[in-house]
Amino acid sequence: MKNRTWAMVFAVAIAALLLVWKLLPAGSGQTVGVYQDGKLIRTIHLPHAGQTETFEVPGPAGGNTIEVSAEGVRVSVAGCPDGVCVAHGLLTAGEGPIVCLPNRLVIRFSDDTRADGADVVAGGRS
Amino acid sequence: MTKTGKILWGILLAALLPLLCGCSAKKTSTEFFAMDTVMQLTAYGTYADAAVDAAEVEIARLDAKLSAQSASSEIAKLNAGGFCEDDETLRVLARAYQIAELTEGAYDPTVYPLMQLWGFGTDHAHVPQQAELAAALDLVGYDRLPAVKAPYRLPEGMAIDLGGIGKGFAAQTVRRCLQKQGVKSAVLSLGGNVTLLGSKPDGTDWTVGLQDPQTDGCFGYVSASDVSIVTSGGYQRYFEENGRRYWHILDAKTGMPADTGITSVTVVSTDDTLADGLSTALFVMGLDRAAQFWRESRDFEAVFLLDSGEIYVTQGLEDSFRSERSFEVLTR
Repeated sequence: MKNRTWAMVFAVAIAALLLVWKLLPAGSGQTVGVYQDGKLIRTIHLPHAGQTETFEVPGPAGGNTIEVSAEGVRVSVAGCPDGVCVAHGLLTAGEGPIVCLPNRLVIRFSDDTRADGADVVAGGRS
Repeated sequence: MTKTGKILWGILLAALLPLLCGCSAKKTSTEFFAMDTVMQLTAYGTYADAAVDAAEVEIARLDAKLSAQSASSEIAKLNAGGFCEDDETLRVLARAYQIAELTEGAYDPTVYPLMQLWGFGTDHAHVPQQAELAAALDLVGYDRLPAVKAPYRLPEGMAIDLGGIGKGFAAQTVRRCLQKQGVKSAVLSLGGNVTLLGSKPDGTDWTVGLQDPQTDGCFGYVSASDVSIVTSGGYQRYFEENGRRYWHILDAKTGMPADTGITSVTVVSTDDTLADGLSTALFVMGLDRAAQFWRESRDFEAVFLLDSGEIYVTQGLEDSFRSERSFEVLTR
């Protein structure tokens, strides 16, 4: 093959790699953002299987205790009166956020593309 | 160019096209708390940054004016026995009255004394005594409101809560604000009230999931553009007492949480404020009355999820609603 053809083959290979990179779903390297009043206050990297971490976020309604495991993130304890954030249960990749209105807290995966393909959800618990 | 070269160029272009398309529309998002809920605004295009900032300012302005909980708001002043002469607030009040009249009080903006009594979302939420309920009900009834004109004043003891249409009015205002800023594609979630401006940047309809209260997923999806899609359900705000759940959507005639066998109602309309008000009203009406109301209307469609798990969809959504579950189509 001529040099120009080799260059083309190389360009096609690079383009194919870029395409695969773009189309691949986000993997386990995803992070979870904890936001209060719209500001990112903590970035969480999910731990390895079997490990669990907890930390507390103070807030105007008594704050929240957040539990992180390899499976996802949950609010395990909340000082708010309604406990909607605790009732949400485990947040896993591809789902909508956990919201605690009284503590003005939102927890969401960095890539919040929903697994079901919805662009947005009507009627969330908030 | 040789035949092999042409083929390779073709492959290269085909591979690059999706990459180029994926980068074409600039996306700007913001998330903040207002109107006692969390709001997310996402706009696309060259003017998205400035437009989203302007939209957030608009919502904060409306929140400060319309919130019953903020002591300095126009509504709080009214509720405290004062006058209102603000044109914009009077327009919202007139719209609230219109929707209350249209729905024969299924949506009623005068439920504030009842909402305060029940205390939803506060640390003193409780089931009121009958005497307390009766006293609060004496102060409720949209038909006792005077004609909306400046200077406007409420009958003594009555109080307004615009929570049932406030987010809808905000959506309408933000829609205009974004359009003025040159935005043609945006999606707003004002506490779960979804407003779609235009279509997606690629020209296709948005896919809006409808929250399944039993799971973190959705029980159905609506494909749409340029409408508001608003869901009301008892699962959104509630408290439990003695093993029973009490939710925040009250029947203004009884003072009790509306219990009509509906888990959630979703309203789809090009009228953002109407969509908000009707989602509450249809929940209070129950399926039969709501279906009849829809048959006599031409400006909205709806999805009903019943406590039994059944799903009913009005005819206008037959082609744009999908669900893995079976559903019935309501016809005119």
